Amino acid sequence: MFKPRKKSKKQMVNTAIILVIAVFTILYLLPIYWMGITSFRPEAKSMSWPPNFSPTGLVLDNYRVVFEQKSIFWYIRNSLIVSIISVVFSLVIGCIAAFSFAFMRWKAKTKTSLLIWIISLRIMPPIATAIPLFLIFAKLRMIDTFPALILAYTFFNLSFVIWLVYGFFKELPREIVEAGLIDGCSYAKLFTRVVIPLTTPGIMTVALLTFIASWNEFLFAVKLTAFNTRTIPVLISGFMIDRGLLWGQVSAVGLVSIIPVIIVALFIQRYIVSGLTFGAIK
Amino acid sequence: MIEKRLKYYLILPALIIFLGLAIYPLFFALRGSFFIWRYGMSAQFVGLKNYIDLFKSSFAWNALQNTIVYVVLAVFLELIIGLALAVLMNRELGFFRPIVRTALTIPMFVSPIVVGIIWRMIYNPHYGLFNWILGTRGFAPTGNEYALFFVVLADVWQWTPFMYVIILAALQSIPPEILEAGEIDGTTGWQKFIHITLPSISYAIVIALTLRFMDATKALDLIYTLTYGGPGGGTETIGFLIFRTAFNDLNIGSATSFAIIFTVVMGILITRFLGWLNRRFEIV
Repeated sequence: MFKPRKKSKKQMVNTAIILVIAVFTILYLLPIYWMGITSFRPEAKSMSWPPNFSPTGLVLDNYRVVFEQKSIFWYIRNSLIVSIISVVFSLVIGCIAAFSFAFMRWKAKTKTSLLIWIISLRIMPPIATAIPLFLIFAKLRMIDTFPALILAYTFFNLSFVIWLVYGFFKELPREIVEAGLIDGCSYAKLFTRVVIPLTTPGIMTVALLTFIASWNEFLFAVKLTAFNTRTIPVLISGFMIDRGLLWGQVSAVGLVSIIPVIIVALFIQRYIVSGLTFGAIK
Repeated sequence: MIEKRLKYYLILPALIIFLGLAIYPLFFALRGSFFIWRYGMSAQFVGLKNYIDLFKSSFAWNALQNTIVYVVLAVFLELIIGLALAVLMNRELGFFRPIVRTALTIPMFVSPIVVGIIWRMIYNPHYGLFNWILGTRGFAPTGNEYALFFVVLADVWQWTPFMYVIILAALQSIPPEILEAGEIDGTTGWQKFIHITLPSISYAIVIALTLRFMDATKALDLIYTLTYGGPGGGTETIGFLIFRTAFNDLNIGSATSFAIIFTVVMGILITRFLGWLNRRFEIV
């Protein structure tokens, strides 16, 4: 027999809180779990009363349908092409711009207004640029091409990248940078050999966040694509127009779209706060 | 001197992207807003007619009202719940806290399109979780005049963790000495919270509120899959109305005029606010 240890009041409060939060968290994730379970049920049983949460009777029917008939691979491929290329573009362009802001001599006022202008572009309602971009790309016969969507995503990721990376650069110890310059490092060398390697973890976080933003983006995707370049969110929204909603299939596509999200959520915890606040909070 | 010009060259690619994909399109939209212009037909110049019609449009006022209710209610609830959760979790909990944080951050990164689908299933009157939890059957949360509140609930589900994560980080960066000083002075828990804790995290709260406010104002994707603005425009926000006018009604002139007003108002609010924030907290 264990001797019952007398717990302090503080410990009991802690235990109670852990219990409450644990229940809360489980309830919180219930919708996602429910969608996951639904995606593995045969369509005839996907809707049931009362809701069935037990992980039994699971089949791959819906996945077979979405992979074979709805050719989800095609949409995944499109999403990957657009997301990855736009992430690379916005990172390269954004890091260079952030380098200029962080390490070169700017008039304080010019720099502040430029940076505020840049962030305000990101905060602006995307619908305001989506309509004219749709018309412009239509005129240029670029609707349903990858460059159109990639350009649009590069634009909306860019201000986010500049702000976050600028924040990471500014935090580097000044001595390192100055020492590099005194040693006769060119700016190019300073950038590739000193600044980038020292901020790689932060930049990776930015890359993941911009990837997710592009992966999830809907407004531009639905208007700038037609047939050849449709991305995953467009496929998902398409289920709404079909007669009724096929719970099993839409859940399967939904779950596929969430997988990268979960991976990202696991990896970026360290920088999540600065990532979520454009670097305003470290 | 090349050095002097280099700094401009380095931001040039970014500027070109911004000018080409944001500023030029905005001017394009501004021009379009002076025309009666249906997509696929020739445009006819009408001056300010679109803007005047907009002020008379009941759709516009309805959307404005819905947006205000949506934003205020969602952001307020997210702040209160997020704050409460953060305060509750701000203690020694060992490995428990990182697990909860990781779990709670997942909904934030799910596409609002998918969140809309999930909640559409939850609100299903016959098989949805919502009825099951209430113990009712046949109740359609998004099928009545209160639909907007249920859309807000979906937003609160997705974004409360945002407030939680930011506020918790701020709470943990309060130097312990400050809190201990309060204890010596004999303040009660509540007083300590109001006079010491809250002021120390005010910056984080302001930032989190701002970002949520901006994001919620633009809400469109969630509504697209959850209610498509219905029933009867009951959940139609400004963003969704502009989208619908442009791409369902193909009424480009009207949609762009609305988008221009929306952007100008948001732009003024944002730049003034960021200016104030920068003077107060030096964010740049």
